[in-house]
Amino acid sequence: MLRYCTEPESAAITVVVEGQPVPAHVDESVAAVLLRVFGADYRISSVDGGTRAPYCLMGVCFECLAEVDGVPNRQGCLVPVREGMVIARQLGRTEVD
Amino acid sequence: MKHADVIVCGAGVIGAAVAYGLATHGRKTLVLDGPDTAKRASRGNFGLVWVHGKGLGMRPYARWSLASADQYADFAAELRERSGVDCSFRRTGGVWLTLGEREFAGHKQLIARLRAEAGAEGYRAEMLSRDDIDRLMPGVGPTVAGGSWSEDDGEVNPLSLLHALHGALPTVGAMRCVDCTVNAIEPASGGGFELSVSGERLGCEQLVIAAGLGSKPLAAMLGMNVPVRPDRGQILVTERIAPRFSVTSNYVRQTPEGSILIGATSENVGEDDRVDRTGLCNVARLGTTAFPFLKRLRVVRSWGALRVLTPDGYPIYEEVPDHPGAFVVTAHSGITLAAVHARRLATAIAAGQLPDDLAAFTSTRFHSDHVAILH
Repeated sequence: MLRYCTEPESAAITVVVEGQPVPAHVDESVAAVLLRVFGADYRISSVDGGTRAPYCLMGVCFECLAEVDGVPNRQGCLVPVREGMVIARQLGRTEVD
Repeated sequence: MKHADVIVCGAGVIGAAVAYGLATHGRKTLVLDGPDTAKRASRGNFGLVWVHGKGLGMRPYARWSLASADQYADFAAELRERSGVDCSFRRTGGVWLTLGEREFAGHKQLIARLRAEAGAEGYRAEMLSRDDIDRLMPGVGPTVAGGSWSEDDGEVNPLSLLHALHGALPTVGAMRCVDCTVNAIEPASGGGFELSVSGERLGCEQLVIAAGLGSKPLAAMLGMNVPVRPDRGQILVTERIAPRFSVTSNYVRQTPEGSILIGATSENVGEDDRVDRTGLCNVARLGTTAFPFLKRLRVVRSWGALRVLTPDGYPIYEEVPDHPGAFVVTAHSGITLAAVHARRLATAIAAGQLPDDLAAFTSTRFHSDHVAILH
């Protein structure tokens, strides 16, 4: 399981991860929060249904996709957390209306 | 000096398909792939295996495209068997979308003329109303007036196709050399050809020039004019969504992985293969007009690439005048035609003679005493 290397005294904000309040650092990414809460393989692929973990954490691989404030397919590693942000794992396919 | 039965200049989908076919006939085949800076149309393709609506005034091209689509499933299976790579070919059938009544009326006329030209051979295409299209591709916009449909069309992952071809080459004894620049081509004294390739001398009995835009300077080394020019296309790719379209269309398609591809511009801008804002805005406008729900999807990628166009858009297949054994193969539709390039065309080249039914594709049709047919 992943954990902070330093004491999270700067965990100044709170995000909501699948209904639960989670303390987070300012400037932490959505992917980092999900890694901390759920462990590495927090996503389920929309293609083959297999589990996936963030791979590059720099915006290239699209393996860290997550739902942020109701919007699916956000690249978790590129989205910094904000106070009150609503975050959910992306488990499989997303629909569009 | 290294020697091969056949040297194929160009290892894109056309060169690789022809080389693969030649090697299946036991020809010792060497394929020369270009440097990283080469313009690579094969790597920028939209991925349609498209038949209907093509070849007005050029019946052999309509037949040739259909023949390739008919063999595609079998060809893809053969490549998968040899290379282990599945190129995701699906003969989904294709919708030709038209925007506005005027475009729809013009398209209806095109299909009627193609049907008339096909005559007794028949023509598999039917007109669709907007509602028909909405049933096949849910979410079609109000501006779509209708279109046409044919079960002949399909789609493929063009990058996987190229990967599969490259993977299949060594299994039939063909060798691909990368980072090659052909500096000179000369007829050899005892027949055949000698090439100077990146400082090395190579010899061959037969030569195939299938180097896309690079075919023009290569064929010029043997005194032949190959009138190809670049035509830029820009493509947008969206995030992946659940399967929505089970059929393909002329400019919007969903890949098996869930991305939606929207294409493409047609721009005469020389060898500039970059994307620009104007082009991408036009593509986005076209896509969202046809399917307004696309506005709610995020774009994850875009790219530009250069089509290889002859003056009428049709292929050139020709033995180089005064140089028996040298052939030029160039086409805009290298993905659609991959199966017939690897089979029928390669078989003919291996036998040393292009058949009569491909005589329509020589470049003599561009000479001044011929009337140009617009694609």
